[in-house]
Amino acid sequence: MNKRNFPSIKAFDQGIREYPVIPESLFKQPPQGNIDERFSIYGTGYSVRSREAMEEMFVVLPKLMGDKLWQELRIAYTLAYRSTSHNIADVGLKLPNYIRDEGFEERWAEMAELEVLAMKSFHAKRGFTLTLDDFSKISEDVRFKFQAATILFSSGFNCAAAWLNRDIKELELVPEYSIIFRKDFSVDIRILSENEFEFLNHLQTGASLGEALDRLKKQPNAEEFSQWIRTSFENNYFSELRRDS
Amino acid sequence: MKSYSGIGLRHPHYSAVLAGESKVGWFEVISENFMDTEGRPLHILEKVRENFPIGTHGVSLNIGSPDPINLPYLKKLKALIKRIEPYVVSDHLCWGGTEGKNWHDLLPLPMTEHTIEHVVQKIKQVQDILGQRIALENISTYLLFKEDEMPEWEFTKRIIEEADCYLLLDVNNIYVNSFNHGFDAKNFVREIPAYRVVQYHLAGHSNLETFLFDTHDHEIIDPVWELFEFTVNQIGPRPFIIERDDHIPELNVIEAEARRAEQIIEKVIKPSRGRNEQAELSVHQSV
Repeated sequence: MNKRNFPSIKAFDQGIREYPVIPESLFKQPPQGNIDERFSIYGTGYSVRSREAMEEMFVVLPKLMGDKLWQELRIAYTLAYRSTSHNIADVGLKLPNYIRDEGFEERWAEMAELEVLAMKSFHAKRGFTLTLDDFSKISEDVRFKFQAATILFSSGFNCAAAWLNRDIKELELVPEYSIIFRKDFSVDIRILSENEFEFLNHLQTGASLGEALDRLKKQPNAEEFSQWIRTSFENNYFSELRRDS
Repeated sequence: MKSYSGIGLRHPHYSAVLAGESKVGWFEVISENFMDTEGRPLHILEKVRENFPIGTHGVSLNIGSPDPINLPYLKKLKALIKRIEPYVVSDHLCWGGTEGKNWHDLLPLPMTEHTIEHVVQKIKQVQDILGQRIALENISTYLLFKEDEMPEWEFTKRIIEEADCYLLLDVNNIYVNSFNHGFDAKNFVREIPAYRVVQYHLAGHSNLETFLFDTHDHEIIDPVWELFEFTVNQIGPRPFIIERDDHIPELNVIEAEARRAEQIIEKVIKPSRGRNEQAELSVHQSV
C-alpha cells in the first residue's frame, strides 16, 4: 500500500460518504462498545451540521413547505451537494439551483433564492452612508453606486410578502418586486411597484437619474418620484453619488 | 480583569458582552465565522476587540488532509489576523475533508511517521504564509486506526516540536480520549512539552456509556476539573477558555466555570510562585 496516497484517510472519507456501510477494517477494536456506534458520530456528523446551518439560512421556506417536504428536500440536497466552503454557514447556497435542477416547484426555488440573498445582504460589505446633504446634490446627470447589501429581487410569487409576514401560509402566483437592503446591520425587505423596481434597476445597472426616468414605461408623478428618492436615502440603498463630468 | 480566563464568544452573548457585563479577560472566536462577513458579526468582533484580547480559533485549516494548503482560505485568515490582531491563532490537529470538499468535522489522523512528515511540512508552510506561529489543538477521537504507530501524546509532541508550532491543549479532549481509548490522561499531560503550550480549552461532553462524545453542550465534569488542576500543576498557568457550542446558557453561567478555572490556577500559582520566579530568573540568566 502506498502511504503517499493516504489510504486510511481516503478510506475514512469514503466511509463517511457511504455511511451506514462502515470501514471496520480500518480501525482497532475499542476497549468498550464497538466500531459501528463510534463511527456513527463521523457518519452522521455532516448531516447534523448541515441541517443546523440550513435551518439558520432558511427560516421561511421550511414553514411554507411543511416539515415533511422540507426534510425530504434538505436530505436529498445534503446527499447531492458536498460543501466546498470553509464555512458551514455556506452549505445551503446552492439550494435554489438544486430545487430547479431536481424539478421541485419553482415557488420553492424563488423563496430559497430570496433567503440566500437576504443572508448575502447580511454579510455584505458596508459602504459609505449618504447624508441629507448628498440628497440636496441630486441632479439628472447623477449616477448612484449601490450598497453591496442592496439587492433587487423580482419573483413570480409573493416571496417577499411571506418573508415580511410570517403568518402567510402559502406562496401565491403573483408578480412581486422587492428590494433587500440593510439598515445598520439588520436586513429588511421592501415590496416595490413594478415602476419603482424598474427605476432602481436602471440606476443599479449604471443609468443616470435622468436616463433611468427616461427608460421607464410609465413616468412617476412628482410626489411619487420624490417618495422613491427619499425612501432610497432613508433605507441607505446607495453608497456613492457620481457625476459624469 | 482576570488575565487568564476567557470564553468562546458566541452569538447569544453578544449584547451582554458589548454592554460590559462580561468579567472574563479575553475571548476566543471561530475564525471562519468572521472571514466572509463585513456585516454585523465583524462589527461586533471589532467592538469586542476594542476592550479585550482575542484568539482566533479555526475549524477548516484541514492541516492533516492529503490536500495541499488551501491558499485562498489562508489569504482570508491572514486578512482577519491583520484586522483583529489576535494574541493567538489556532486550529486543530486533524483533517476535515479531501479533494476540496469539507465534512466540517474534526477527523482523526493516522498516527504514523508518514503523517508526521506530511503535517509538519504543511504547518511550516502555513506559518511561512501567515508570518507567525500557529497553535494546534489536540482533538477528541472515537476510533484509532490499525495503522497507528505511536500513542497520541507522542504523535502530538513530535508534530509540534518538529513543526516549531504551539499547542492548544484541550484538557477535556485528553479526558475524552483517555476514556475512549483506555489510556492514562495524566501520562498524556506529563509527556507534553510545557513550553509549547500556549492555551487551554475546557468543555463539557456527553456520556454515551461506551464512549464519551465531545459535544460542548454540558457543564464541565469533576474529573475534567481534576485533570485541569493536574495539568496546571504540570505545565503551568496559561490563558484558557470555557467552550460551549450548544445549549448555550446565560453568560454568568459560563463565567462561573471560568471563575472556577481561575481559582484552580490561583491555587496552583500561590504555593509555587517563588519556585516559578526562580525558574524564570534562571531562563533569563541562561539567555
